[in-house]
Amino acid sequence: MAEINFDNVGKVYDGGTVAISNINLKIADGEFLVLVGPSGCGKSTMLRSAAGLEEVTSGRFWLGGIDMTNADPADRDVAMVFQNYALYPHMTVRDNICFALEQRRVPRPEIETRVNDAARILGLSDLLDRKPGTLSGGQRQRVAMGRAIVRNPRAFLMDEPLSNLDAKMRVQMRAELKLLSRRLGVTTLYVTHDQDEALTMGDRVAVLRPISSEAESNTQQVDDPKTLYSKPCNLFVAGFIGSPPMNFLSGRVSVVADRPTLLIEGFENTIALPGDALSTRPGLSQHLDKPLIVGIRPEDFRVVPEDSADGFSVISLVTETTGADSYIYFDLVAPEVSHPDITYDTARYDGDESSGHLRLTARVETALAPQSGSTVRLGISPDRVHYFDPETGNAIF
Amino acid sequence: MPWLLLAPSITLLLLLIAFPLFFALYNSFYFWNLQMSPQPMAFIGFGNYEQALGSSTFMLALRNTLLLSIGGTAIQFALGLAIAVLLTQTLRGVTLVRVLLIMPTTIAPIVVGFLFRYMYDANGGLLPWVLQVLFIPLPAEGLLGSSTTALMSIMFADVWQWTPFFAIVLYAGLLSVPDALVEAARVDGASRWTILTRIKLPVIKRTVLIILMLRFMQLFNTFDLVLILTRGGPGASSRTLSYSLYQQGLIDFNIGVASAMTWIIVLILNVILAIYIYIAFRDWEW
Repeated sequence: MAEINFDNVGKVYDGGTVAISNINLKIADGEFLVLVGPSGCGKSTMLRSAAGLEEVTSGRFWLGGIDMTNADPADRDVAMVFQNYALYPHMTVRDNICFALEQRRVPRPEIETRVNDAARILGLSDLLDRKPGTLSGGQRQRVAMGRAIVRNPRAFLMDEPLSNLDAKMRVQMRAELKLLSRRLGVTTLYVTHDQDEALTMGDRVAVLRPISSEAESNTQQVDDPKTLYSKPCNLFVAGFIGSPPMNFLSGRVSVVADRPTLLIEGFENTIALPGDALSTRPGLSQHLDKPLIVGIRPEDFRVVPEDSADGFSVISLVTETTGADSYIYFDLVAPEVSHPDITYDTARYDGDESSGHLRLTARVETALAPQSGSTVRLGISPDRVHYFDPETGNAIF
Repeated sequence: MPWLLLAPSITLLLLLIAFPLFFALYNSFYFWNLQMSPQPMAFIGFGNYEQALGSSTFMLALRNTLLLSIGGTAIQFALGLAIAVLLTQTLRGVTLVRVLLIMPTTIAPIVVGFLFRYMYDANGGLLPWVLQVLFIPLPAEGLLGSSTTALMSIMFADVWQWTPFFAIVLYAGLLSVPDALVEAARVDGASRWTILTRIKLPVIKRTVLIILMLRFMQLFNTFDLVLILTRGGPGASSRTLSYSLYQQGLIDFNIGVASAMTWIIVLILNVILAIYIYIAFRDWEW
């Protein structure tokens, strides 16, 4: 068990492609840290350089206070779980699990004890003499875990270990894995592209993004899941974390009759902000009467009565029910917000290519949700609105 | 209906494999020398088999054949594997080597035979000169003329021709081993040698077992190199079963004995292969 420390780590490939740069990240002993980001964001490169499978081109990598930047994978004493498990197909489950111990010349009786312990923890005892090819996806995943935990390594490195499982199994293994990690207390670096996985599993989550020059850094925000969700530091994190993603609109904050007021393009009414809105969010004072990007999470819309003076009426293009909650997709007559970090990947299947319409998503209680095609009046929770600087994309706190 | 669809291939099989084999089986029970008659002359039961097995050179030819096929296969596999491992490294010029490697395999064995006859030539051949330079004593009769080196010389020519085949097939096999497996083994703390012997080779076991079998079968039937290089000599010191068969059938025109030998060779080879397949492919399924 050990602390992991990325000290200004960077990796530039021979062709000049910058994979990661300026990575400064400390993972405390026993912490479960998740690296999350879209493809090409460098999360796997980070993990692989931690394992020693990839050489870094700048910075130092520390493991338990020892400089391991140039150490061979074998000397790092870390265990890795691969996306496709990388089980040795010709060996039985038992041989797969004890292979690493054999390489480390652990005495036979001790290997036996440790393999049996690991198998018991993971419920693999009946499968020890089977070959990986005869196991189900979930069982293989557990063998891969067994191979890692049997070693008592200084750290676990996990590369999307659940992505090859079906949805139900994934959710189940997510909880099991988290329990296991807490029980073993081993420092864990966990890579995923699935933000649900990141938020549910990580003690802390690091959001990474693809970069194009060495001057930038991949790490956008490293925080506990709650903070990451409620206080995203910039447009990239705000748009990446949350599903369906945050809605972005153009707006501005002004003081009208001594009261801070939010004006959102496309909304019928201005929105009165709480009286202390400027004092709790000092950054906002500097942006008064200037264009802002306003972010509203789908669940921060709420259905208000038809005759309410509050809110605005919309026609639900599609209403999707997920159970207790429903998603309402609707258009607002407002320009799309243009910023490099905002991508509208909603294809316009209705053939309405005309911009000037902004497609938004609201998440409301199913009991209150309108039928597809009918009208509903929505309001927003003013204290839950996010503000971003349209120039830098940084959040305004 | 299925029979109709299978009929063409079954007909071909019967005509090209079964018929000659059974024709030979029939002949093997008759006394028939082409120099005496165009027809089989008399039914003699197992007489031909007795003659073939009882001849003074049969056991020697069998020993030579086994030496050549087992030794040749083993040497070619070991060298081929070493080359294949080198090919997977990123070294300067590896691409060129990969292209050049295939060349010996594309040359007809007869041509290889002639090539090596010149190379072994005691008067100015390349190999005797190399050996002399290295202070390795040469037999006075020449490499092909001495009973101690004749068979080895045949094997060497075959190794030269067929090692690249092993190298290429094994190289392709090694490339097919998923990177993740090798990386997992590296993280597990395995050395390069352990990764090769305990991960890579077992993963490509099927390929390895099949090329070993193919090459063994081909080497067991080695004939062209023997014909060109030594004609089985000196004496019978480099005679193989196939060369004996050729001698009986096409030099002595002894069709009966040649047919019996055909069956003896087929039986020996198939017994060996059956044992090999039984042992090697037992846990074929993963």
